[in-house]
Amino acid sequence: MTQEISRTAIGEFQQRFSRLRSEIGKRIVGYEAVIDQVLTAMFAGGHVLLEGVPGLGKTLLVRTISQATDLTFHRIQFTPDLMPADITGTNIIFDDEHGGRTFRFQPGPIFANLVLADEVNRATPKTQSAILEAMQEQSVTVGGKTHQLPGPFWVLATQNPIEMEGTYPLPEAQVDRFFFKVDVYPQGEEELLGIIQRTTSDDLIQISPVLDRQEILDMHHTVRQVMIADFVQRYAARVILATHPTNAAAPETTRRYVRFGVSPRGVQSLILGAKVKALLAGRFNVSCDDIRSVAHPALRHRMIRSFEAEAERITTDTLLDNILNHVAEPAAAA
Amino acid sequence: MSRHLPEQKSIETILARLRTRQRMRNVASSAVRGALAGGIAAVMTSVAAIVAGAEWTTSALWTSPAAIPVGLLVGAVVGALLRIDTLEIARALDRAAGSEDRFASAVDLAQHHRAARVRLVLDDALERVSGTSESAALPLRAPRELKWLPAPVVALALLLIFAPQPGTAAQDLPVPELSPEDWAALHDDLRQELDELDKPESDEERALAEELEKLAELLKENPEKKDALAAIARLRDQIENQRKNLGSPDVSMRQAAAAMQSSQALAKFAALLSMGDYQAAAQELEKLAEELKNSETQLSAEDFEAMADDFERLTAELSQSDQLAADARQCAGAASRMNRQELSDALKRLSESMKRNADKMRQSDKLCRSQSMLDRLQKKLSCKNQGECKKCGNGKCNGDGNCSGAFVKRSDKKGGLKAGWGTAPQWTGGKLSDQAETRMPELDDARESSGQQNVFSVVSPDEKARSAQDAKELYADMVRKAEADLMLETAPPAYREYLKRYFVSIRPADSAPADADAGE
Repeated sequence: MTQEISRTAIGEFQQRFSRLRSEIGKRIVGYEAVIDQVLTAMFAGGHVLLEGVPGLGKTLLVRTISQATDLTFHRIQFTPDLMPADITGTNIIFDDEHGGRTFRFQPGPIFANLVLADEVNRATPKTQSAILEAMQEQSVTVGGKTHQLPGPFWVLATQNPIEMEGTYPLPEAQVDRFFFKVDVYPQGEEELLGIIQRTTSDDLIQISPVLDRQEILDMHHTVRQVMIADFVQRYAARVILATHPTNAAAPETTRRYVRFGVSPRGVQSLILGAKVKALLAGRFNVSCDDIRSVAHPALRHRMIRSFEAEAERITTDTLLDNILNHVAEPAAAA
Repeated sequence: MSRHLPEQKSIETILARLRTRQRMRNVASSAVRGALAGGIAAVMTSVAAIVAGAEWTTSALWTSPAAIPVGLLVGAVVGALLRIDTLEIARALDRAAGSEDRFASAVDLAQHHRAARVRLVLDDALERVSGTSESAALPLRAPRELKWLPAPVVALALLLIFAPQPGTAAQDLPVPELSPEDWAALHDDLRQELDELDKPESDEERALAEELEKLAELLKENPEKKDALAAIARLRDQIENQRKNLGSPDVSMRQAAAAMQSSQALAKFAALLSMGDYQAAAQELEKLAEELKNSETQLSAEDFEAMADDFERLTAELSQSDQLAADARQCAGAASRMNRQELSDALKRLSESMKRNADKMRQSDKLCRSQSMLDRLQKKLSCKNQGECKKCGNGKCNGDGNCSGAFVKRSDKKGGLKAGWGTAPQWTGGKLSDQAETRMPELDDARESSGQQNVFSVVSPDEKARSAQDAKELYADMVRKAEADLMLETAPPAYREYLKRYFVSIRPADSAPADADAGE
């Protein structure tokens, strides 16, 4: 029996979140916003795509999260020769105790609570698509048989910017299945000093699991119990519609620089991410500010820019800024 | 949710206070907007009235400011009736309390079927907004339009002060050409001259005297100048008609008497003549004739010569009267021949002629005096420097009655050549009708003869004289001038044809056809 939302439940949510964050902070220097966004997506039940140039600590972040939680963790290094079966698993012949031979499903690395898809865009689109079903249905179908993945199930993927050598762009259908896309930027001087101190000495940083599987499932449930008023939902819907270039209410920048707007999965991410934000703020309701705070990671990878935007190096974050400034909150003026 | 939670009642209480507060804000804001709109409407109405020069300008200027309080009242009513958005005021409270949409969400979710969760939201919201007053959420700020409200008020005040008022405009009406004092002076002068006139004896004289009295009364009433001039012209015509009907010689016996200054024997006759006592003058001539006949008076050659000169002058002065002039001429001839008997007879004839015409001459004198009186009055009215003209009794006038000064046209709103509308200085005392201005030539001395009549004289109305040029010469002269003009510039072919047709149409019948080629 799961716990009904209450002040106690919210307190526990905040405390668990804080505990996990502190544990991660033992190893990861800086990146508070990146960690918050990754954890927000995880507790909302979504997958995360981390993008940044090599060496910024993306993989280390995901490995640290896995160590801080008492969950099964697999890492898949995506390479150009990686095959779909290498991810999902395949049926192999086994010798049974009776001397006979039988096909038995050998689960691939996707069968884990937390899967690190490292450098996901270095594999071919065919292989990248192998995790589509797993990400959406939390199941894998091999040889005509569907195998359910353990819950909770997250894919934390890292990728290098598309301009890098030897990368394949992720298909739009797969990108859309990521709850958040988190941009990882180079850190500042203070953060680099911290990295130097922690990684170049013989001090051992021990990461301990601070959350177990059940606690995480409870947190998932608590997130979905947060209430959201109609006017906040309406605001979220208006933001989504404003990303569509064919919408009359869209700002000029959207009509000019966006080829395809955000899918309905985007508004789901927006609302669920905002609910996590509301819980972290100790509220039982979602506010319009919560919507705005998660708009960038939830929507930036779902907007397909036009050629003109790419030529003029206009990012989706810039477009989203314009949209958030353009869309008025319901009953904003009094 | 069928039943209300206790928290919902608290929410409703807060909302009710917020609604009241918001209604006050709406009333204040709408009232200011209404007043501003009323002010703008008032200014526009006033400006439109001034620009259009409407008769209701004054009333518009004074009543339009009432649009401001009316607008304020209407605005307040509209503001009180405006719909209040519950979500709007709830979010305003959230902003004031920093409660991140808690209260607005609680209001929105109050009827949600998840009662337990709703209670949590309501409790949370009430806890966060409990310390926040509705005045903090919905402060009573001065509406932005308030700073513009003085503008129409000031504009209206300026319009009231500086706008041209119909009362002011009336002061710009043209002042009368003659002041009441001028009319009084004219009346007094005319009255004095009327008193000096002889008493009327005939019906016609009485009628004329009554008309002159009416004119004097008219002057007393400060009339329009044109009315006075019209009355004078009418009286002049009446006098002229009476003089024509009288049939008396149009002579000035007084002027004739003034010319007789040489002879001592005729001195008494001249004195009586200048006094207008024609009967006595005739008797004096008769007496002189008897004395000459009876040789009671001895005349020297110089006396005869002086008498001849005086009678010559008298003859010249009486040239308008054939009978009197002939009698005077015979007297002059007899005197020059120093023939006493002949002179006596001639004097008797002249005496009898004067006796016959004495009454008419006396009446003519009266009419002349009346006419002179009217002439002087007309000149005074026409004179611009009345009271100082040399001719009409004042010093500034140049003597022709058309001097400039007090009688100039005061208004340029009306004009023209008619007497009255400021054109009196240009009026020469002619007829007031438009026909006086026509300048069509008159045919004079048209003689009836056989065949076509080609010889006639052209007389202009001004000159009243025969033209020295006949029609043929005039036509030839016109053709020559037209040819000379055509040498200077090229006339279009169509226009040449027009000229040719013109000259052909006016060519005299016996003119040479070559003349008609002038148009070509």
